[in-house]
Amino acid sequence: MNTQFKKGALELCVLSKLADSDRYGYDLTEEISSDMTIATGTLYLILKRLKDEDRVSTYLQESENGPARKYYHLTDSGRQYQEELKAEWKSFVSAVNGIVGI
Amino acid sequence: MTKVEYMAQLRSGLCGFDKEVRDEIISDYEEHFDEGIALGKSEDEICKELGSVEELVEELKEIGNKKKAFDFSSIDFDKYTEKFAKTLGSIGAAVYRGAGTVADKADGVVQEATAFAKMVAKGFEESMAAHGTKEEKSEDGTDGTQE
Repeated sequence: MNTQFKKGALELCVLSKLADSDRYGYDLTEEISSDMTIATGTLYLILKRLKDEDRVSTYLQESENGPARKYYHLTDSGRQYQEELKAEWKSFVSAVNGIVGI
Repeated sequence: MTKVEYMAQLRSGLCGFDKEVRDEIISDYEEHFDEGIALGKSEDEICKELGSVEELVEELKEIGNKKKAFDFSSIDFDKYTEKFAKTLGSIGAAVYRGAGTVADKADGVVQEATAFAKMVAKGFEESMAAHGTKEEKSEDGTDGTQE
């Protein structure tokens, strides 16, 4: 899949998964990288950046058999940002589709 | 590749970045490996999924560069406006009173202008050191994940 398309959309994808529920790193990254081929490392960078921007917060939660997992949670600002990005994506895709003839 | 080999590569690649950044990435990757291994994945497979350390470092550098935008809001422009006005006056005086040829007068102008430029540069440097820099966003609102 085209790298340029992916890069633009990844942040929205990460935010959208978190809009549904809090997720821990492995689970979230596995799910996204199964839908589109992407280096998992890139996703962790995106998550870190979102955290630095206070769009996402993290907390630790014990898992049954193993060490504590780091969970990602969408903040209010993150939720608002996701909605803005989603709207922008929608109009962008619609514009491109119009031009391309889809 | 084994986890040990990959993590060694990662640690080496992250040299030179902030400790906070290094620690967080290493911790995330450690956790990712632990989870994958617990689910029966091979270390080699996990390494492949995580992707190239080189590319990760490149992406980190890009983000880092974006963050070095100078924070102009930290500058006291009034101070420079006043000084600039005085410098213009000095330049005018240097030209008016300047001895000898046009070239000599030009020297006077250059001296005043250079003194002013040095003052501005010093002020900007001090401002950056005191106030830090802020993250720059490109025009379209993204900050580097799009080209």
